[in-house]
Amino acid sequence: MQDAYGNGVAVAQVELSLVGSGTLTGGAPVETDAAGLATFAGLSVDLVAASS
Amino acid sequence: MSDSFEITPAAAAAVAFVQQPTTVAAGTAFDPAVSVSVRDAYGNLVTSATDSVTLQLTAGTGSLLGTTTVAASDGIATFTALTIEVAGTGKQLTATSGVLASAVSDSFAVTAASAAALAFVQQPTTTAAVLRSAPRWRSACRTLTATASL
Repeated sequence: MQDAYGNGVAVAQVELSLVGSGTLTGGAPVETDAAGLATFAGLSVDLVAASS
Repeated sequence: MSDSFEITPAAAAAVAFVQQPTTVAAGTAFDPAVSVSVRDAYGNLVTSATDSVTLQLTAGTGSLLGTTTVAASDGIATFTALTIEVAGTGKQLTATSGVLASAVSDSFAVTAASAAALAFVQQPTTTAAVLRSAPRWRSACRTLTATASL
């Protein structure tokens, strides 16, 4: 996450959502670190869940 | 007892910070405004001084933006709209004015401004599907959208 000048913004919540078919797992909110990075480990998309 | 008398400042010899720079958000003017005085060799404020004083960022990253040269009024130059856009710590300003002895400010920090944008550092990549016992297929090759809250 960045401010208007490209500086990383710490201690902010970022979450992921999926555009398109499937169900995203692991995209729950993650807090950014001191550099403004939010890291999502273990992301996966379940294709069958959306189609079943 | 003698009559009262006045001792006036000697010639201008140095500049000195009156209001040091304090921690500020990126792109935001210092509040309170940084100010620099003109002093004689004995530390007296030279109230008649109108010397131009220049500030430069001499330690830390980024550039000092805004009106960086201001003429002293009553011996004090006040810089009302200075900003720095690059966040970081250990920044210092140096004040100069012609041949006068310069002054270095205390160290200060610039913090990030309000969040304005999200950007993927590592994009999702195509990953082979894995057969699960259900059986269902898992993959990580769709478009992801990041949203943020503070």
